[in-house]
Amino acid sequence: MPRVPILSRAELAEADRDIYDDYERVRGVQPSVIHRAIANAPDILRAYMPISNALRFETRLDARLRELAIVMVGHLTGSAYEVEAHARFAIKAGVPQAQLDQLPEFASSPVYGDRERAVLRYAAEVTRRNQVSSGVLAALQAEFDQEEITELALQVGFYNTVVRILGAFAIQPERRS
Amino acid sequence: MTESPGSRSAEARNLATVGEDLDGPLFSAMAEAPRLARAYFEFGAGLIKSCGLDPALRELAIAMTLAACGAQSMARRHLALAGSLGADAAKIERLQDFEDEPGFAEPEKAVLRFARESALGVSVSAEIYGGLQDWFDVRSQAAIALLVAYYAGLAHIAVPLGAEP
Repeated sequence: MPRVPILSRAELAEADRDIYDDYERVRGVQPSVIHRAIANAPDILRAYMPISNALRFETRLDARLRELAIVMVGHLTGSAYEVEAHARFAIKAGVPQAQLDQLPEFASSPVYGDRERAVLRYAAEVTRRNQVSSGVLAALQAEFDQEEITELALQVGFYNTVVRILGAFAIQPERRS
Repeated sequence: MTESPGSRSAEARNLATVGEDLDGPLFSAMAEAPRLARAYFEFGAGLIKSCGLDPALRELAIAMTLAACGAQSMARRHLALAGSLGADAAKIERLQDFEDEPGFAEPEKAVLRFARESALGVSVSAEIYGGLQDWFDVRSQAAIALLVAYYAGLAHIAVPLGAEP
């Protein structure tokens, strides 16, 4: 059970309901549990949404690679919510189910190409020990330009933020019928 | 990207609010993705402005988070900020040993325990989170959790991008 209330639109002050309205307009769905938890500090949710939306909708990095990196962050930090939520996004973006299933063996599994493996190695090293070896950087530089690498770094950093929010609030996966 | 002097100064203000600057290594490292960098620091500035935590304690919690994530030079900058905002020298010097430092009050210890566990462990035990619940209302708990999570994320950008000497 989450440690903070999961607020509905009706539970927000009237002056803050536009945050949820904007969310639905931009994303086409109702706010998810993590955002409804952050809404306990509505001014902070207001500051949070632009970067969250920018990382989702305004990057050049291939969405399949972005989602693989995010699922890897969730997998390595034991964040079931993050894994479930972004596995759905990954499938929607075109990631084969086999690439999600074999994340624990990404270093040796034949289901990944060089680009996927370079992204996953970066996400794994940063999340595990917040360091990147020269080999991992070289593999990224061989496949991506500097803008894409910077975007990847921001995605991995941001989702290391997200898993800590989930961990603090003890938020579990959203069950969908 | 063409930028007006006004947007440049707004950017500088956001960076200063989160303890960075336009000429610093972190912003330079993010320069290849300027729109994202701007949004990232706007989030941080918004968080700092509406966090509600005592500013000196806020900076100590940030320093604890950054140090736990291996961003030592950023941590030192925030310790200096804590000092400029009124944190006692003993608290700054003994931050990593806060449990044994009598100058720290219980609510401060609750924040620092939370910051260390969240930064290092990602998940936070019921006991540690309960310490926050003992002293802070739900809004403040959310603000503290987001503050620590933001700086942990920032450390996970700065260190791998080589912006943490």
